[in-house]
Amino acid sequence: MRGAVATSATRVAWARRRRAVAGAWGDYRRSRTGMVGLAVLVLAGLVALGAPLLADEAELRAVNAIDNPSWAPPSEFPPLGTDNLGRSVWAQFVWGSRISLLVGLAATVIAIVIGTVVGVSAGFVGGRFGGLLMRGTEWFLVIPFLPLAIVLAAVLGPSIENIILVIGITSWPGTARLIRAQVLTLKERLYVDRSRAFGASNRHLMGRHILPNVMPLVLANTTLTVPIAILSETTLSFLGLGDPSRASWGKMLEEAFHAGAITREAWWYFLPPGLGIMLVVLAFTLCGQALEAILDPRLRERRS
Amino acid sequence: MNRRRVIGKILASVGTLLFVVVFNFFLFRVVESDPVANLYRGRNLSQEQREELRREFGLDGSQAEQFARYVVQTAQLNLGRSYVSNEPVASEIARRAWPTVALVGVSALLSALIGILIGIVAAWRRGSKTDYVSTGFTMTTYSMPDFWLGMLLLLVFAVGLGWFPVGGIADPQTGGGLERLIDQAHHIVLPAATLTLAYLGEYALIMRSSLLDTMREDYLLLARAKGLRDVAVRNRHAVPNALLPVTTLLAINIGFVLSGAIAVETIFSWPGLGLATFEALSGPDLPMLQGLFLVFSAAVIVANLAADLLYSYLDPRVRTA
Amino acid sequence: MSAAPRPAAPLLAVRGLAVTYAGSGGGVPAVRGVSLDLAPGETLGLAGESGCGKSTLAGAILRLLPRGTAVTGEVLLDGEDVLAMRPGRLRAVRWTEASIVLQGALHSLNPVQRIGAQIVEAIELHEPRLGRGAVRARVAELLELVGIPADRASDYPHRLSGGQRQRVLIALALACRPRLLIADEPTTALDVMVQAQVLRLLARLQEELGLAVLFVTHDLSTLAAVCRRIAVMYAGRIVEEGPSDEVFRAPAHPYTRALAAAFPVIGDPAFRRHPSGLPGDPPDPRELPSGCPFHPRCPLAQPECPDVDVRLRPAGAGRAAACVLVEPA
Ligand SMILES: Nc1ncnc2c1ncn2[C@@H]1O[C@H](COP(=O)(O)OP(=O)(O)OP(=O)(O)O)[C@@H](O)[C@H]1O
Ligand SMILES: [Mg+2]
Repeated sequence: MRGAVATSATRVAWARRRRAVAGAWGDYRRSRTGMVGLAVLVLAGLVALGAPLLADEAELRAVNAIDNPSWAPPSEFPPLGTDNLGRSVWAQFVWGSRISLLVGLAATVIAIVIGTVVGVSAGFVGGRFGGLLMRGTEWFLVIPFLPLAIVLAAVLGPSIENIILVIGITSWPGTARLIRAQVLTLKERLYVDRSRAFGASNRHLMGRHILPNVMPLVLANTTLTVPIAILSETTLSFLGLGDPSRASWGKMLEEAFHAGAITREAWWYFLPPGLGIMLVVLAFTLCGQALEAILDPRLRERRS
Repeated sequence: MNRRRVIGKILASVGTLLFVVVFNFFLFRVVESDPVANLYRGRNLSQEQREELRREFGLDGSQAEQFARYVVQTAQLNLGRSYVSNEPVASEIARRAWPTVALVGVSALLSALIGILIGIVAAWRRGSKTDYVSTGFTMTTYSMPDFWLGMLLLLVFAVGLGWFPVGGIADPQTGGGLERLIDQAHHIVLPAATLTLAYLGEYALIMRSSLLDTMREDYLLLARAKGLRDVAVRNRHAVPNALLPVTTLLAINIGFVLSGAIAVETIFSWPGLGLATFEALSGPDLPMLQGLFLVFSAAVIVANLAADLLYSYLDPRVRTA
Repeated sequence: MSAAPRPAAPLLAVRGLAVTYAGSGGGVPAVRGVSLDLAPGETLGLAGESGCGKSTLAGAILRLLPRGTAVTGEVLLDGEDVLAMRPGRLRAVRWTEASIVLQGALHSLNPVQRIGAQIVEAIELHEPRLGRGAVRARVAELLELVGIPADRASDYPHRLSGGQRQRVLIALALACRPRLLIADEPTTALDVMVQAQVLRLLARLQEELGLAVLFVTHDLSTLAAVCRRIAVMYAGRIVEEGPSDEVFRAPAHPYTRALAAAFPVIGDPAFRRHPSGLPGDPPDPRELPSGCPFHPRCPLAQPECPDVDVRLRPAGAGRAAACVLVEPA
């Protein structure tokens, strides 16, 4: 009897969730900027995944580019010209997109996981433990991100794993604070109290009521954290802290700058990676804003 | 706000500062890898050289000894000696702080001023063409890596058009006095423009959304009902309220911009703390890096405190509570 | 409209006012053809459930509705149509001819300005030649008038209690000596004791200053105490109008009857939503029932009610009601 009630309740809950997702997608599709952002992201994803089809990885190595002219503009060496060593800028751009996106996404996953765990525990457990956790978060919030990342990257040594780790573990405090606030609001809400009165376990509360309701916020926050992570990768790589063996958009900018691309007016070398970063960052921001806009009225409605 | 609360906030900031000092120590030591090995990767060091380096970094003796020595020295504002210049880190930092303060000061003020104005116009004409264009513009500059924006400006205005120097803070040939000042002003234009463009987007977006929130308030309707012109409603009632969060952001940002200019200073060879960081990285100059990290963190903490106090001064709800 | 002779030419005459808000899924017809008269020095009460369009009507009189709202009909203030005024004239009329105490008083003062400054702003705007001393004296006089010590002028709004803020708003509304005061639910957010104080204050001011007051509330019993005449609104229209004691004692419209029979349970949020004790919710203006919009909730509904668009019809001396059951006397 109880079992049957429980399963049908679960089924109802799932159906409701599926309908909510469908409704959210319907809302999202109405946001023009959100759709533009999504389209750009899909395109960037295709370039990154299809890199082997678009350019030969061997072109990235200087030894294979000895016969190419160096500093050739796009008109002489289509589609995007060559760098100081004669390597194809196009090949670097295509393969670089992989590293930039990978670092951005992976670092965001780390940041979001830490931030969500800290935020949910601080908000849900509350009390002295939660207070302590938040105190620590506040401390990490004031440590300036870039110097910390620089010092960490310098101490750990430059590698792609380290750069992901560094960005990930320096980006979580904002998320933690946001999630905690949301969990506190949820906790205030009547039905949590009501199910506690019916003797619901903490695990039930967490799984049924808290997590499903924080997840949309986590998603929106993720879309807004990725662009920051990508920009961080760019800056760290530019400062020479990136993986020396792999091209990323930030690394291209570093090499272009130090090879003197500006004084040579070799715009084709540093324009594409910068544009790539800008477009991807902009696209993520647009998607994140569209998501927030969908979420916001619902959050507000629930609060009142 | 009463004195107790102010003192409480100051004490909390001191606590955070202490945390950073401790954190700074462990950051360079407890991390699993050996910083000496990492920073000197690829160089052949003999065992003696290695020991020598470790001693120089204060890495000899037990952890407790090291920590005690570090705390005492830091309290005396002794941040060690730069490995590259062999100068005291503290005086090196003090010397190189001024160019950064000048650059960051100018661009922080300009970006806040311009950004706030853009935000006001965009919010007041929400949905208009002006709104779309300005919001699109600010979101675009906001999405660029700041140093890339600097590279573009260099390409166009320094290399292409030749209007501005490609880097540095002054031409060594120029004389002193006014002539030198004008030369420095000439040099600061491009880096300041870069940072201004890079940061105004945030102010514009926040001012816009803050003003949009404020515009829903009942007291604006009342102000209109009194017979005030729309412009007066905006300038006297909406903007002052909407500015509160933006002012706080400005104060906090000044702390962050100090360290945020690392890449831009590198692009323009602007001899401030950012370029110092870059040089310390390639040195590699561990004591300098450690000192810079401490200064950057302290700047953020002080700016946060200032923002807190400023907010409570500006908002009567907090001030007189 | 009732045919009874007016004691004087109306100060405020609303004629066929209709207000449609711009909504995402088509317009929201919040007010659908309202006419009413208010003589100088007279008090008119406007009652009705939440969402029936009272605040919309009040806001339309001073043209305070959001941009994009369609307003038709006439709002004659001393014979001049507010809806046709040029912006400059409109700004001059606001606060000098008619002023308003907005609903939600707790938020209608600017939190970062001293209350004195907010009163001064209105006076200086409309009487720029008044000297600084005279302005300050007027502010002190206004605050004393509503029972607030003059030295509180230098306080910020958050330092005042809800009742005090409501009084400050009334003082502010009287700053430029208007002849018409629109008070939109001036007592709703207050506790009973304070409600009574504010009501007494309004009655006294109305008498002393010869003010005309349009008093808006969802609570019929308050109106009966303060107003000589009342109008009851339902779904954007006036459904009954007349002298307050008569309307209250012998309601002609079933909706008024329900409102009058209900005992206010102060502080109970359910009462605010259903002051009438009627089943169901007031209708959404976007999906009004056909015919008489009240028929789905009406205890006396007739077979023809879903089809007949009833307008106000005379129901005794100086009275009118919009119900098929009302026989012209
Ligand atoms: N800006 C707006 N845009 C669209 N619809 C609105 C707007 N303001 C009010 N409405 C709708 O118009 C109708 C009338 O609202 P109004 O505020 O006039 O009601 P009210 O009688 O004052 O109610 P209450 O007693 O709750 O104050 C409501 O259905 C409301 O939802
Ligand atoms: Mg209302």
